[in-house]
Amino acid sequence: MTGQPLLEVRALVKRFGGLQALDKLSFEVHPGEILGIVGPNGAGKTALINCVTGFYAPNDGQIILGSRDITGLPVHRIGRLGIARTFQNIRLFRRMTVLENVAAVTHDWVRRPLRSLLARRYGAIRDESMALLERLRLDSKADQVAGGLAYGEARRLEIARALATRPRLLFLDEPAAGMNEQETEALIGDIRAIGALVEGVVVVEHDIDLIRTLSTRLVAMNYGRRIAQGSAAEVFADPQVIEAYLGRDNA
Amino acid sequence: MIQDHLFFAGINILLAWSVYIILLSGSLSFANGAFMAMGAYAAGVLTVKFGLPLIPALALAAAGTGITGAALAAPALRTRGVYLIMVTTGITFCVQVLLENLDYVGGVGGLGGMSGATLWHVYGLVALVGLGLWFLSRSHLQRMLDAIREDEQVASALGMNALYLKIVCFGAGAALAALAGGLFAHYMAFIRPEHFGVLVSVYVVLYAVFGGVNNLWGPMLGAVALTLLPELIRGLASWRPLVFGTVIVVLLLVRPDGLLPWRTLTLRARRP
Repeated sequence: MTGQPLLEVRALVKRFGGLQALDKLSFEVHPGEILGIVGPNGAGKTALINCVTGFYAPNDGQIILGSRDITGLPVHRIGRLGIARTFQNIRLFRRMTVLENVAAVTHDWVRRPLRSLLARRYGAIRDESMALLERLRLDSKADQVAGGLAYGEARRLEIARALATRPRLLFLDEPAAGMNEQETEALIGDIRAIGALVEGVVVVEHDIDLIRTLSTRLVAMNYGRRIAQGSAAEVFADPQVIEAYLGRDNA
Repeated sequence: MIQDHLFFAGINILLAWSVYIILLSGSLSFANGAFMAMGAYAAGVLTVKFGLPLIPALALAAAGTGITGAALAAPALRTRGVYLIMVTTGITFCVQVLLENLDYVGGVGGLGGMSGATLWHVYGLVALVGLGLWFLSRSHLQRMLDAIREDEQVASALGMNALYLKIVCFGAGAALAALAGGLFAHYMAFIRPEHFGVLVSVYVVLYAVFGGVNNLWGPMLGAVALTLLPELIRGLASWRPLVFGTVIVVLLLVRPDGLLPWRTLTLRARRP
């Protein structure tokens, strides 16, 4: 827990009209971590991801990646600086093939799209993309249209596509949503395996089992504020967390 | 007579492709009639009033219209869907009214004296643009554009400058429409603002959508079919527009993705 954090979120504020989605939220992601962010529905988890990835402009506070302030940068600049994400409601390029989904965002050409017209390095991009698909057990589906994938496969493709940008930090927004127990277990293995490809992973989830097994550290949120952080044991023993999840009467 | 039909079919192929190029990045433009008008008038003024030869005049007109198109796209592309359609339609109205009130280019009376465009020019350009689009369709850029058309936000989040590519496509489509307009002007010898009304913009989009916008052959077939169809049913006299409209509606009901709906894959896994 020493040294420079990979990502530092400082007193982040996001308001929607009168609703305070993020209320001076602060936390850090350290290199090598799989950080879990938990909280009941409406706690501000997705608003947080949207602020960090540039989808929303925060009203106040700072987001620092490495030593660089990325607050308010355009979405594609943040993507290029090394933050990749998946979506709660799976957003694939549905009419493109599995392989194309990954190859489309391969880092070499997203930065110089017009020069890619003259490029002839099909082999390198194919090999790199296929290697990622193999890692996520999708290589046998490479030439299928992404819209036809089963649910679990679609989730894995979204992760493979995010990794194709060679991110430093990967945000997973409720990766286990809608999955059964077996699928969730396989997913935990997959996420652990890809940990080696990135400097850090942030998993936002309200499936407590998944987050307990997977994350090396937890941040708990409610009403846009951080209410606890630490190991899974510490966080789930915290009275505020118990209250947020179960209500006051059960606490 | 036959030559006229062939000429207009070629012009319409170019115009359908100009819509296709803009659609590649996911924007629908009803301003291509306006870009065609800009190209027609700019090239016409350059040859008639400044005595430039045809080809340099076309190149200049295309460059100017392309830059204008890109400059208009930057604010226009902040809108999406129905709103973008309204903004681009608005551009078409504005350009037409502007031309009607510009005495320098003849106002409502029109501009005359252009000549020199032949079938060779048109089909040479069709071959050139077709080759370029075929080359594009197998490139990394095509795949990135496909991704932006599928989901612009996601493509941006993964590092693509979607707005920049959409502006580039808009400018390129405008330039191609201008080339078609320039050739049209130098074939017709006389042009008036009413040649480039909103209906032209609508027709051009229709050519592309009718043929299918997932590959470069769709707009080409759509343009040829819809240019020649009215001639084939000429015998129906005043019933022609009704039959024409019915054919379009029925075809789009039966084949919503156009006559040629397939999409070319930009990359395949090598099978062991």
